[in-house]
Amino acid sequence: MTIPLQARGVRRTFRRPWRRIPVVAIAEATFELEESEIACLIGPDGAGKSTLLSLAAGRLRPDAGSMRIDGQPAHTAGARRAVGLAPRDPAFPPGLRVRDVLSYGARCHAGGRQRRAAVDEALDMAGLPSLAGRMATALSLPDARRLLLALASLGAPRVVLLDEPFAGLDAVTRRDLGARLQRLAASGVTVLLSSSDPIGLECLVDTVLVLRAGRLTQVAPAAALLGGRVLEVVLDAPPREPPPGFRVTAAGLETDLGPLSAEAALATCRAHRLAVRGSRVRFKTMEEAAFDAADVLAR
Amino acid sequence: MPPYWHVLFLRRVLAEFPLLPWRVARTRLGLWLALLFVGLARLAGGETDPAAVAVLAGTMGAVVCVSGVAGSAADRAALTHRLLQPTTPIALAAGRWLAAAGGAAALVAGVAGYAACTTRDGPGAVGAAAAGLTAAAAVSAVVLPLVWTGGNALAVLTFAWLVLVSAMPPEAVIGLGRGGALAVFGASVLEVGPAMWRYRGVAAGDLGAAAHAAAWVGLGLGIAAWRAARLGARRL
Repeated sequence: MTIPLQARGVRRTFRRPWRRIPVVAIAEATFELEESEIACLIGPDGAGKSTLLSLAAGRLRPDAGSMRIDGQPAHTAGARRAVGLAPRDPAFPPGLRVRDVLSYGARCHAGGRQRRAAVDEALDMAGLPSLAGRMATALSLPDARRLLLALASLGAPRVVLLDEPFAGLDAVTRRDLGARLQRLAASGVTVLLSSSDPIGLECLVDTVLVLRAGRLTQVAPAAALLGGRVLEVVLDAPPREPPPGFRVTAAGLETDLGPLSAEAALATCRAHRLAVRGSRVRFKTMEEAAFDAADVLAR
Repeated sequence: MPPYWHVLFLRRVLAEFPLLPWRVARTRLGLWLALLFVGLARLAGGETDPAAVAVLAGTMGAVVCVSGVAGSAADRAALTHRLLQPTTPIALAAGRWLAAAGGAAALVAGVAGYAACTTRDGPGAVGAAAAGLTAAAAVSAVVLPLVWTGGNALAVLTFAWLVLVSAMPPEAVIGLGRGGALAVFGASVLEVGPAMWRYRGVAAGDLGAAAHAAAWVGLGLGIAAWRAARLGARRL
C-alpha cells in the first residue's frame, strides 16, 4: 500500500519580476500522512499553508524535494485524480444549482450512472440533499463550505485538502463540518486541512503540523502536542505580580504544569499569599500548542 | 483500467457543454438568443442575402454565447476552482468554445431553416448555414480569450466591431477613410482577423475563408487555454 501523501524536503520560492531576491514560501517541509489520518496544518497568516496545500494538490511544483500523492509526483494526472482540494473562498459558476455544480464537477471524473451516483453520494456526505435545488451562488457561507467539501470529495480521492475550512463559521457549524470530515476519513480518505485559528480542532485531528515562516517546525500526533497540562487558579482578586511561571488570566492565574504536580504549583500560590478560591487541571488547547510552537521558534 | 487519454480529454471537453443549456434556461442568454432569432428571421424572410444573414447570426450568436457561458466576472473567478477538478486548460478552453459555438450554431440553423422555408431556396440555405457556422466557430474562438482577459466589456466592443464594421471588405474601409492611418489599420484588422465579409464566401465554396476560420479557431483556443491557465494559477 502506498503512502497517500508524502512530502520530502519540499522547498518553493516565488520570484517577482521587480525583486531580485526570491520570496521563500516554503523553506523545508517533510512529512507523511497515512490512510484515514486527519492532519491539521496550523500557523499564522502568511506562514505558507495555502502554498503547501497547492503543492500537495499539484497546482504548484516544488523547486526542490518531492511531493507525492499515492506514490506519484503530485503534479501528474494520476496524482491529481487522487486528490481533491477545497479552497478557502467559495466561487461557483453563476446560474447553476447545487446539484448542477456537483454534476458539472463530476463530469470530469465519470459519465452516466456513475456520475449521478457520485453526485448523490457527495450530496449525502456534505449534508446537502435538501439544498440540491438551490442556486449555488445564493448559499450561505456554511452551506457553501459544505458544497466545496462535496466538490473536493468527488471522484473518490485518496487525499482531501481543505484550506481554512472553518474560517468564519460558528461553533455549531464547525462541529457539524468536523463530524463530516471524520466520517470522510473513516472511509479511508486522508484529510489535510489548514487553519490559522485552530480553536476547537483538538478532538478532530490526529496529527498537527506547525508551519511558521515557511518552515515546518513541528509534526507531531495531536495527543503528544496537546498532552501538556495547564493549572487554572481562581483568585478573589488578580495579583499585582504573578508568581514565577504563572500568567494572569481574567479569573486569576494559570501555569503550564510540566513535570510539577498541581499541589506543588498551588503551594507556590499560597507561598505568595494568594487567596485561592478554586483550581482545575486541563489539557492544553490547540491554540496554546500553536502559540508554544511560535514561541519556541522566536526564542 | 483508466480510459485512454483522448477519451479522458474528450470527456473533459464535453464536461463544459452543459453550461450552455443551463445558462440558456436560467439566465438572460436564452432571452438574448430568442430576440436575435426573431430579428434575424425577419431579416432572412426579406430580400437580404441568406448567406449574409447566416453569417450575421453566427457572429452575433457567437459573441452573445461566449459572453453568456464565460464572460461574467463570477465565471472568471470560478475558473480557478474549475481547474481544481482533473481537467486541463486546453480541455476547458475547447469545452467552453464548443458550448458557445454550439449556441451560435443553433441560432444559425434556426435562421437558415427559417430562410429555407420562407424563400424556397433550399440549396442556398445549406451554403448560407455553412457560412454561418464557419463564422460562429471563428468568432467564438477569438472572443473567448478576449472575455477571459477583459470581461464582457471587451465582448461588447468586439460585438460592435464585428457587426458594424466587419461586413465591409478592407478596400471599402480604406476608401471610406481616404487612405488615412486609421483606415489602413482598420483594413488590416479586417483582412487578418475574423470578419463577416470573408465568411460570406464560404456559401459560394471559398475554401480559403474556411481555412482562415480554422486557423483562427486553433489560435484562439491556444490563447484561451493560456489565459485559462493564468487565471487558474491565481492564489486560492
